[in-house]
Amino acid sequence: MSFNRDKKSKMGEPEQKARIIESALQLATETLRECEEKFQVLFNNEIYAICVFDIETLKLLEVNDTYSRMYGYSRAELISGMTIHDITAEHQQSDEATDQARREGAMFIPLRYHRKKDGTIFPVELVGGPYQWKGRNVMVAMAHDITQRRQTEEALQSARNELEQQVAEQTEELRQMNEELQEEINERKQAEDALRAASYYTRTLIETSLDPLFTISLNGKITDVNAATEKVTGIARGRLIGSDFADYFTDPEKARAGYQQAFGQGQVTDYPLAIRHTSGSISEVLYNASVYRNDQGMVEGVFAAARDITQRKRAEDALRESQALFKTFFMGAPMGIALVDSQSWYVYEVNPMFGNITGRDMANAVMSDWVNITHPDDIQEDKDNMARLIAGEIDGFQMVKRFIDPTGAAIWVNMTVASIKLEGSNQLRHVCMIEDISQRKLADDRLHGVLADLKRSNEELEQFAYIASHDLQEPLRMVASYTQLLADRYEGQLDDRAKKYIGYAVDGAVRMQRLINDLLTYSRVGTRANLIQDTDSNLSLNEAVRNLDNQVKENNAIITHDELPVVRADPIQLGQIFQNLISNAIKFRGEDIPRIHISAQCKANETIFSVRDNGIGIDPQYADRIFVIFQRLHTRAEYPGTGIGLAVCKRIIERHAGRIWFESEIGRGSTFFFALPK
Amino acid sequence: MDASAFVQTVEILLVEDNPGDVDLTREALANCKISNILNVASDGEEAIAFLRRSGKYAKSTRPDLILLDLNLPRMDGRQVLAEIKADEDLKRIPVVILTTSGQEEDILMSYNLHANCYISKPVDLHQFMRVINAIEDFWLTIVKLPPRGKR
Repeated sequence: MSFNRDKKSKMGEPEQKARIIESALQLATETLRECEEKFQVLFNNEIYAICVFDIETLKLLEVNDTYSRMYGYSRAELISGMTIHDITAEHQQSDEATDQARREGAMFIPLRYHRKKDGTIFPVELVGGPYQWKGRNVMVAMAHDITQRRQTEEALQSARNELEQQVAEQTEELRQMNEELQEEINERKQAEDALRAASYYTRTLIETSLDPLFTISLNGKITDVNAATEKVTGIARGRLIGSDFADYFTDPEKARAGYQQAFGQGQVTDYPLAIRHTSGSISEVLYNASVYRNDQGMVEGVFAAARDITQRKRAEDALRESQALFKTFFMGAPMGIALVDSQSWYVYEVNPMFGNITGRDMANAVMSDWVNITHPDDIQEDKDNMARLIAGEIDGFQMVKRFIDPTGAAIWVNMTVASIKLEGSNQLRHVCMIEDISQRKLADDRLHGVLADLKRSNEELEQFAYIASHDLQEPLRMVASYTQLLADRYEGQLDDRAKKYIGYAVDGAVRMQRLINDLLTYSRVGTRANLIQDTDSNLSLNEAVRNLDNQVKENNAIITHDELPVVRADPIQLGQIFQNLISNAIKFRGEDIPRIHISAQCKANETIFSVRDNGIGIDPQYADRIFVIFQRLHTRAEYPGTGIGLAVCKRIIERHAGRIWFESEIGRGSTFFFALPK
Repeated sequence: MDASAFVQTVEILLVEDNPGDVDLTREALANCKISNILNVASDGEEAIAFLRRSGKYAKSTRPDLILLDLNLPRMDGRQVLAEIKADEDLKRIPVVILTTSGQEEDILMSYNLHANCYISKPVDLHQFMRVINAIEDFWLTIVKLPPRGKR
């Protein structure tokens, strides 16, 4: 628009003002129309449904045609009081939307479900913002029906899912196929392994068989061998296979005949042949063969085994030899031997010597008659022993008995009976061996007689000693007692010399009594002895020391000992030895406290004990005398005692078949040794 | 001491064949606190006759104590002991074996035959005296003997 400059005339002012106002008005109307047009274009687009609603009340104030079409309501209906809630499927979210718009000045909701008039629920995309309009706070919102878009999206998703599923199914199928394939491979492999193992097993059996095994083809050639065949021929299988089997036998014709027989009859058993080893040695064999067929049932060849009987043959020869040897021994033996069947008492073998000893021919005899040829006193014991043997309680027994020869004379024999059990047989047999001991018996009896005499003699001797000691004591007592009585009675009238003489008399009697007792002890070493037995010498030593308690205490003697061994001895007498030696050691002490040590040394054949003291010692020139009974090296005034201690020791040692000696140095002490055999 | 234990004379029977020993014993007993009567039998048969009050011993009194030697002629001391201890009336009389032997077997046998005690005679006189006094002390003063009335 342009001002009409040309019309710039001096009109009246009010007319000018009116024209300006009219122009302005025209301009404004034009501008307004343009705006209105623009607005209409925008508002009436057919893509977006546009509405304007009050933010507070949510009432719809203005809608475009597209909106009306989209929701199915007429414009008039929509702006007649409907709210956003009426077209929303979810109420709450409308409020959220408006809040969002208020806060941020814009609203964008990618997905919202709205409701059409006919009830259809459809998805929309909403865009909008708050405005001021006619003095109100309004929201202008554009709704874009995205049903189509969503459907497309869903279809796409669906298609994608389907595709994925198909892919998964395909993959699964492939995997399964792969698994099945793998299983098949495994099965095949297992079958192969089993086959290989079975094959290995079969081959191993063939190879480890001790018998030479080989197969022969239809034309007589060796087709297979095992290790034993190589061994018996001395030839490697490489050379054996393909060669004529008969070549290895000492009699090839005979071998071929056997082979033919196998074919003819299907088998041949225990056919004796001999195989020659390359070294020249021969093996006796029993040839066993049978034909074998392939899986079509066709005969392929002969499977043969050659059992080596060389050993067996040798054993048979050895047995024959040993039987011959036995016969020689049996017949020529210096003792009578009879083999008897324990059940029937039948004597199935007896040697000539048996007959010689018993004075009877025992061949084909029945031993149940043995009671008739045995001395009556021996029958019971013999019976008892035999009963135990047959019952199996004992394997054998030995007894001395008498047979009665035909003349009725008794023949002393040492008889040994032993049961013979044959392997795998229930038959009970026994062997009866007798040794003529008539001569020995005579000698024995004589010896017994002598021993009995000796024993009796010893006993008589002891009794004599006992009585003697008794009867000698009485007069002694009389002498001693009455002499003393006299002294007491007539004390006042006796001078010193008289008293001295009386002293000698009494002293003599007392000594005599002691001598008698010692003699008795000495005599009893042999007769009052205990059995020689395993003795703990520590115990014997302890007993001896206990008995010497008084003497030990009076002299403050110190007695020590090493651990002593167990020895073969009479325990009481061993104690006596210790007691006598220790008593002497204390008695013959020096100035110092007596120190006595007992120890023992074990040698191969004997045990040597030693008793060492620190006493006055012994002059070696008297070595012989001190062990003699009643021999003393000192006066009675110097040392008391009868001189029997060492004699008793010596007698005891002799009884034990030992020996006793000493080592000594005057003034330094002595060590007494005694040895006891093991 | 109560009234029942009034002092009375003790009867002792000594069975001993050796007169020397008899006199010695008599000497020793003479010094006794308790008054005693010593009867002597010189062999076993006499001793039994005395105890049984047979024959010439009809009037004898039962002894309170017997001192018995083992070694006697004819009937030996062991036999005498056995007979005494087997006899209902005599077995309660204490028997002291007073003998020379000190041998174990004699001791054992004597106790087995129920001797009341066993003493071997010492050689030494004074020892012997002491032993007799000890016997007297023990058996006549310390020990209660069976009442006489019951014998």
